[in-house]
Amino acid sequence: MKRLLQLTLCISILLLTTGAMARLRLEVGTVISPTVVFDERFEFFSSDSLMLPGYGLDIRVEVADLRQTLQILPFVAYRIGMQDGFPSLVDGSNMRTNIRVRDVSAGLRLRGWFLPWLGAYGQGFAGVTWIDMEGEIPRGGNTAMKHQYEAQKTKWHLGAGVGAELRISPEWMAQRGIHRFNFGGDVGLGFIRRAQTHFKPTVSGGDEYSIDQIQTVSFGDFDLSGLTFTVGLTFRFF
Amino acid sequence: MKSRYRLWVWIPVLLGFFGCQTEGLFESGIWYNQKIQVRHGIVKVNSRTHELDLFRVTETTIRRQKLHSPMKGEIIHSIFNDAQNENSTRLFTIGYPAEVRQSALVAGLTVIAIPSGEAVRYETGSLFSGYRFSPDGNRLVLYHQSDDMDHAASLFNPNEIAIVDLTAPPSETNPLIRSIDIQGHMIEDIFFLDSLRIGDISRQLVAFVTDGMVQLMDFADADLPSLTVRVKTPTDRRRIVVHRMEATPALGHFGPRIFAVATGATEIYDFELSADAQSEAGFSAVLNLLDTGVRPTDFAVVRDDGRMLLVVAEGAARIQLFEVDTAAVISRSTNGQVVQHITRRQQEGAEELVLWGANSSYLFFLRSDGLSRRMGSDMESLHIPDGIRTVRILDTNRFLIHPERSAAVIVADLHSRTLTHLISTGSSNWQDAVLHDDTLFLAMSRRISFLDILSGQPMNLELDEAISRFYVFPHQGTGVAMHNTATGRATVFPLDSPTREDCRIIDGFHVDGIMNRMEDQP
Repeated sequence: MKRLLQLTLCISILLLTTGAMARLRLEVGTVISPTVVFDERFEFFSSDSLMLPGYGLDIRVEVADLRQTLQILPFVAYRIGMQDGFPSLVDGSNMRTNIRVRDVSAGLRLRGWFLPWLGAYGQGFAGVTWIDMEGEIPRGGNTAMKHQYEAQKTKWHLGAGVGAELRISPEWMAQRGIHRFNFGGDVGLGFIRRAQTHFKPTVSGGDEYSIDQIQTVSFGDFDLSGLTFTVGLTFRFF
Repeated sequence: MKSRYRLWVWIPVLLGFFGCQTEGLFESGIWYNQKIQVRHGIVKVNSRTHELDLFRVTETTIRRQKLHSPMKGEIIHSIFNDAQNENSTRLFTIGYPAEVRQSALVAGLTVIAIPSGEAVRYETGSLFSGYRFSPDGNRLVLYHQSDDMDHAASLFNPNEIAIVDLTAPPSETNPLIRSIDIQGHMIEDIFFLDSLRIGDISRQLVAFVTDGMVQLMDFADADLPSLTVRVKTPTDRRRIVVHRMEATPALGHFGPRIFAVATGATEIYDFELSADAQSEAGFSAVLNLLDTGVRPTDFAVVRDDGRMLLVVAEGAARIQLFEVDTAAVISRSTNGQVVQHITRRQQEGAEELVLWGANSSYLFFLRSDGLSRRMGSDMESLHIPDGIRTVRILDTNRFLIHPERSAAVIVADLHSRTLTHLISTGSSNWQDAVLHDDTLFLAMSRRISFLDILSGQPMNLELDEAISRFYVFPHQGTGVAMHNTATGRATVFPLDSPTREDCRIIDGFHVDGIMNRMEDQP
């Protein structure tokens, strides 16, 4: 944390001394961001696929524009991904599973516009991941049995990515008297590394008369790291 | 668009497409194709890896433990335990190579100690799916059944047997591979007979039975040639397979002999044995036929006052008493009650025969001592009001009777000659009940019914889920009701207090660590 503060301070001093401190611009992006999970054990939550579909929101602030070439945009991002599966466990009996992965990240995007309407970026980020896992056994109308397996985990994540950004040419917008708004999109590819997760749920269900449970299941470990694809829309203000 | 730009568009698309392809890691899950109860829990065979998992049962847990991995390329054909059943601490597997080109691996028997998993493998050369333990559990005879031929690469000898000395390590002569002379027939049964002294030699005879033939082998010296006894002539078209044998030592002027009855025959076979130096086996057998006129279903040899008698049940409303010396026959009417089965027990220090039959309404009791004088005139009976459909021998003093004409369950106390008669409201078969001490447990649907035999008090234990299998572990004092739940779930309870308050659910023992284990699947 101390090093992070030192780094932030250094960048700020550099920007101030080089006169690169730009007028702050706000960018809001909405993205569709599926992840291809590398760990095949993810199939436990995803029938015949390693895809974790997701979407989210980015808030970026352009804080510097170095030589009108390279822009620096700290950002915070929220992503949510959901998937469900129907793994076969033992002797042909199945469980209905689902997983919800929420990421809150903070990071830095470096961007350059090499055409008025087309740019490229690279970014890095880190943050916290909340994982909610559930499994459900079909009850067949039996309300007495415990059937719901639930676990919540909080993990860290790190990531990086590159991509292309599109916008409406600022000159074209200026000709129409629009100076403080722009609109565009981005397409990106990245990698996210999430900490290993252990699925050891608690079991619930049944009713007040159900028999107590004394041994719970530990399904095992898996890793949600993967390759992320991003397609989004970006709105720029100020 | 130029082709190089087109390539950059397609790379992420292809990466995404192939990155999502999966091999269906959890499509079929884990399958256990054979399950067997042992003293410490339940052993199951993983049908894909052929590994044996022990689900170890305690009062509060069921934990999976990898018990045994077969040799590389070995397929487990079958598993079985010894006669100890739920108290067994040994497990046996019959394995064979998955691929005939694996010349270094041959079919064999593996003996696995439980719970340590320590294994000893006896190479048998060919796959034997039939087996019989000697009464002391120290020897195991493996023999071929007809399906074994499917696993033979070329020549198949149906008369090949393997005699395994379980007390000795594997060696060139353990197992002892022999071919017995039953002329290409399949062995249909094996009987370990009581030790007999023939001449000056004590012999442990084992009878290998096939249609029309009995092969006697002396296990005291298994290297000796065996002796063939034909129980029908070559022209006899009847299918005659001995289904019960009893050896009896010499008595007075009677030499040692073996009596046998066979399915499809009206005779009782009397093998009179004597030492014979001319015979390769060292003994010979003279076959006498005692014609009963009907088809005997069971018999008992009674030695009383220097005389040898046979008590014969024949599926008719009578029993017959043969005096072997004189061939005199006395029939005793059973008042219209069919008698098919005979068992022995002790009543107040003396041997007693218990006789019964399906569709009859009486159990009959015949004391062995004094039989040669009274010839069955003192036969006692116990009336079963709703008739007998099936009888299960719980122990030497108790029969569990499933009545013919009601949905009841009857416990017959043979010592006191009393009945405990309970009306069963369920459609369950009490023949599947498990006895522990004086309590009889029966699982059905979501309920375990149990019956205190001494007090006659029936009780029920209603569980939360349907029961797929029910086990009693006397060693742990625990009852386990398995449920058909994807994760592997069981309700456990103490056998001495089978109440809902003392029940606990144990969940997940099948799938503990399954996400990590699936990587190990072939």
